[in-house]
Amino acid sequence: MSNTPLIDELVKGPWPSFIKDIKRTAEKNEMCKDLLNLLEMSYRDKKTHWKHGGIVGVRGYGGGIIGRYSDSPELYPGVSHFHTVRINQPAGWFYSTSALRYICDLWEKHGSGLTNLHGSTGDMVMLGTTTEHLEDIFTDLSEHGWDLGGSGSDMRTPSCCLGKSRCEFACIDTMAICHDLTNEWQDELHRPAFPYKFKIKIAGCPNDCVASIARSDCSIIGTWRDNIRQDDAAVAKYASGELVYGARADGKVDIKADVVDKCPTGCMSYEGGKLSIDNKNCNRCMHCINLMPQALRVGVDGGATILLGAKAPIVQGALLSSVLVPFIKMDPPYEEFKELIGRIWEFWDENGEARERIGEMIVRIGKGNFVEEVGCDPIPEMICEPRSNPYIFYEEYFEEE
Amino acid sequence: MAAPKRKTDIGPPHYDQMLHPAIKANYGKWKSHQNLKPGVLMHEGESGAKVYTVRGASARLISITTIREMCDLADKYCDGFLRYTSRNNVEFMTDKEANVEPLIADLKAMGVPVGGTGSSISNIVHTQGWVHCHSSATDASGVVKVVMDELIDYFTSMSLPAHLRIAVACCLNMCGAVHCSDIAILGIHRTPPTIDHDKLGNMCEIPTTVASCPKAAIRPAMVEGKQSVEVIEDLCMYCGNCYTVCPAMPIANPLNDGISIWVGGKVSNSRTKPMFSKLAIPYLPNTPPRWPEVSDAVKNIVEVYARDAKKYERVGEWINRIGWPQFFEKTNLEFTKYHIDDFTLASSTYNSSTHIKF
Amino acid sequence: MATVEEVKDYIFKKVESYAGKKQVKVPQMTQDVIEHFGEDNCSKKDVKEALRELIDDEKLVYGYFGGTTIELPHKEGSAN
Repeated sequence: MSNTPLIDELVKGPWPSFIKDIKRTAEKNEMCKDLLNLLEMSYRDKKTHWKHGGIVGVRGYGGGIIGRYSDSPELYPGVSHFHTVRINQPAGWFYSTSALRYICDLWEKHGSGLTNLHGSTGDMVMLGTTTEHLEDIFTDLSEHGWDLGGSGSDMRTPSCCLGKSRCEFACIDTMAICHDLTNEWQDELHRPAFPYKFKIKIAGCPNDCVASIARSDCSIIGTWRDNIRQDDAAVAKYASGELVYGARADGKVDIKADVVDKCPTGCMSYEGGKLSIDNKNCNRCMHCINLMPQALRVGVDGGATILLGAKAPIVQGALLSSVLVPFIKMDPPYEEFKELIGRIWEFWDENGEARERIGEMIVRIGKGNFVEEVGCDPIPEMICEPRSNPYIFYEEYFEEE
Repeated sequence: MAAPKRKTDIGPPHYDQMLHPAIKANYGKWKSHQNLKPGVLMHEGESGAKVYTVRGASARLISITTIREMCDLADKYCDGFLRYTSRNNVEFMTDKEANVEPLIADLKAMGVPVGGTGSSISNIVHTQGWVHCHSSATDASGVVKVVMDELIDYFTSMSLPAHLRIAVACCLNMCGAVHCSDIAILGIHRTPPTIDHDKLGNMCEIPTTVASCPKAAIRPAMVEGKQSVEVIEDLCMYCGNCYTVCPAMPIANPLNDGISIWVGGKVSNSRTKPMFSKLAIPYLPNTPPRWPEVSDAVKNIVEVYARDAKKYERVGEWINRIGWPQFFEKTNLEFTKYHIDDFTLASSTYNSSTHIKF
Repeated sequence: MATVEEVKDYIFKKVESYAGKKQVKVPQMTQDVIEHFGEDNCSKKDVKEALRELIDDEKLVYGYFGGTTIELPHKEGSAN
C-alpha cells in the first residue's frame, strides 16, 4: 500500500501530473522521496510544512539562493534543508538541448532533480539542495558560462517575450535589450542595495505576453510611432474568407463587425471593399493586427513606452504600471533609457522607505513630484484624467514688492 | 585571509547559442503568422521561410527526467533546440513541416497535451504552494492539476470567445502576480498568526520580529513572565512576513485557510486597457487532494462566459458589457458585503449613477 | 577623504552594535556612513566598495527579512 494516498489522487487525470513526475524521479533521489512524504503531510494537515531561512547564499552575492527548511526534519531528513537556486535564464527562454542537459546533470549531482521552468520572475528555478552544495554549484555554473539570478532587495532577473526572434509584432528587440540590461546591471542584480526588489520585464508589443504591465516595477513595452502597414490584397482575402483568423475555431473575419466596429478609437472604416485607418487616432491597441496579421502590420518606426510601478497587493494594494515615457527609441547601447533608470534608482535609493516598491513611493510622494525629480516633463499621457479635487499644493506664490 | 578570486558577474549565456538555425536566420525578419490548429503556429519570414511551432503543456514543476525527455524530442525533430513560454508551456520549433505530426504524436504518447494557442485556456501560471513555500495558504501545483484536468478540452481547442488566462497564487504575496487574470485562484489566510509564547523568546529576535510587520501590528510584550510579542489583530492582513523571520508565529490555520476566486483581469492592451481581476467568490474551503469546490466554481464561470460572451470579448470585457449584477445572476454566485471594497479608493468602485438594468 | 579601511571599519562596528537588535539595510547604512564622514569625504561609491570588500571577505553577510539586510556571519538560518 502506498504511504501517500492523498497526493496519489493527483496522478489521475489527463493534465501532466507533477506527482507522477516527482515519483519517478524519487526512484533515484532520496530528497524527492521525502518531499513526497512531506507534501502528503501538508495534504493531510491542510497546511504548509516549510519554514523560511534566508541566511544562505554563495560568497559575495546577496541574491540567487533562497533558504528553505522543513518544520519536520526528524520525520523527513531528506528535505530538512531544501534551498532554491535561481539560475539566470537565457533571454526568451530558448535552449539548446546540450545546455539543458548540462543543467539536468548538474541538478542530478547537486540537487533534488526538481525544477520550475520557469519561476514567475523568469529564472530557471532549481528546487531543493543543501548549503554544502552551494559553492560547488556556483563554481560549476560559472565554469560553464551560467550565473545566478536575483532575489532580495536587488534588481531582479530581467525577462522578456521572444520578440523579434519569432514574432512579427515585436517593435523592439526584446531579447537583445534583456541580455544587455542584465549584463549592464550585474552588480545591481547580485548585490542587493535597493530599498526593495525591482523587476524589469520587456514586451515586444502592447499584447504584453510577459505581463510586464502587471508584474514589473519597470515595464518596457514595444510600440510604434508611424502608420500601421496595410496590405489591401490580403485585406480582400480576409473579406472573402480565403484567409481566416486562425486563433479561433470559426475564424472567418467579418471586417466591419469584427475589426472596424471593435476598434476602441473608431479610427477605422470599411467602405466599398477599402479599409481605411486614421493612424493619428489609433491608440496602438493591436486588435485589428491580431485579427488579420497577414494584412496589417505594426509600423516600422519602433520604440517603447516606459511604464513604472506594477506590484502585487502587499503592502499598499496591487498596482499596474503607469506611463512615464510615451515613446523612447530602444537601440543599442540604450543610453537614454539607462540614464533614465539611473536617475530613478538614485531618487528611490534616497527617498524610498524600507520595503517600499517604487510604485508605492510614487503614490506616496505624488506622481507629479516624482516625474519632476527624475527629470521628465509632466504630460497628459501619464494620466487617465486630471485631478477632480481642488487640493493643490502650489509651490509658487507672489510676494508683495 | 581573503578567499581566492572567483569568476563572478558573467551573466546568463547569450541567447544566440540557444536558437534554432531557422529562427536565427529569420531573426527580426518575420512577416506574419498563422495559427494552423490548436497548439500549432506557422511563422513566415520576409524571405518566404516557414517555421512551425508545436506547443505542449507542462506542469511547470518538472523533473530532470521530464526535461531530458523533452530534449530527446527536440533532438529528434528540432535539431536540438526548444524553448519555454511565459505561461510555462514547452515549444518545439522546426522548419520541416513533415516533422509536425510525428512530433505531436510523440508528445501525446508522452502524456503532453498539445494546445494553448489562440482562443483557448492556456497553461495556468502559478506559485510554489505546499511543495516549497512557507507562507502558502494552499497548494498551487495540485490546484492547477485538478482545474486543468477539468478544463483540458479548452486547452486543446480554440472554442472560447477569446483567450482565457487563469493564474493561481497560494497567498496574498502573489509571487505569480495573479491580479490581472481572466480568472485568478488565490489562496487566503483569514486569521492572524498564532504565537507560541513558550518558544518565541528563544527562537526569534524580538526587534526583528516587530520590524518584520509591514503594518506595524506587532509589539513587544511580556506574556506570563516571558519575553514575547503581541499582534494587533485589526491591523493584520495575513502576509506571513512575521512567520518568515519567526517560526514561532505560524500564519497557517488549517481550519480557516481557503481559496478565493477573482475574475475579469487582463494585461493585453487589445481593445480595452489592462484590468485588475475583481472578487467573484470570497471563500471556498481548502479541500485537498482534488479541491472539487474550486474546479467546479472555475468550470462554471468558464462555461457561462463561453455561452454568453461575444466573439473576441475577454472575461472582463464581457462583464463590463453585461454589468456585474448580471454576472452574479448568470453565474449563480452569491453577492456579499465582502464584494464591496473597503480599502484605499474604495469609493471609486461605488455606482454613482442610475445606470441599472431591470 | 575617508579611506576604504576607515569606511569598512565604521560599517563593521555599526553592524556589530546592531546585532540582535536591529536589521540594517544597505540604503540606510549608506546614508548613515555618508552622514558620519560628510558628503565631501565619502561618496555612495565608496560605501559600495567598502561593503563589497566586507562581504567578499565574509566579515559581513547578506540576510533577508522582507528585504535584504547586512549582518554578522552566523549559524545557518532558521535551521535549528
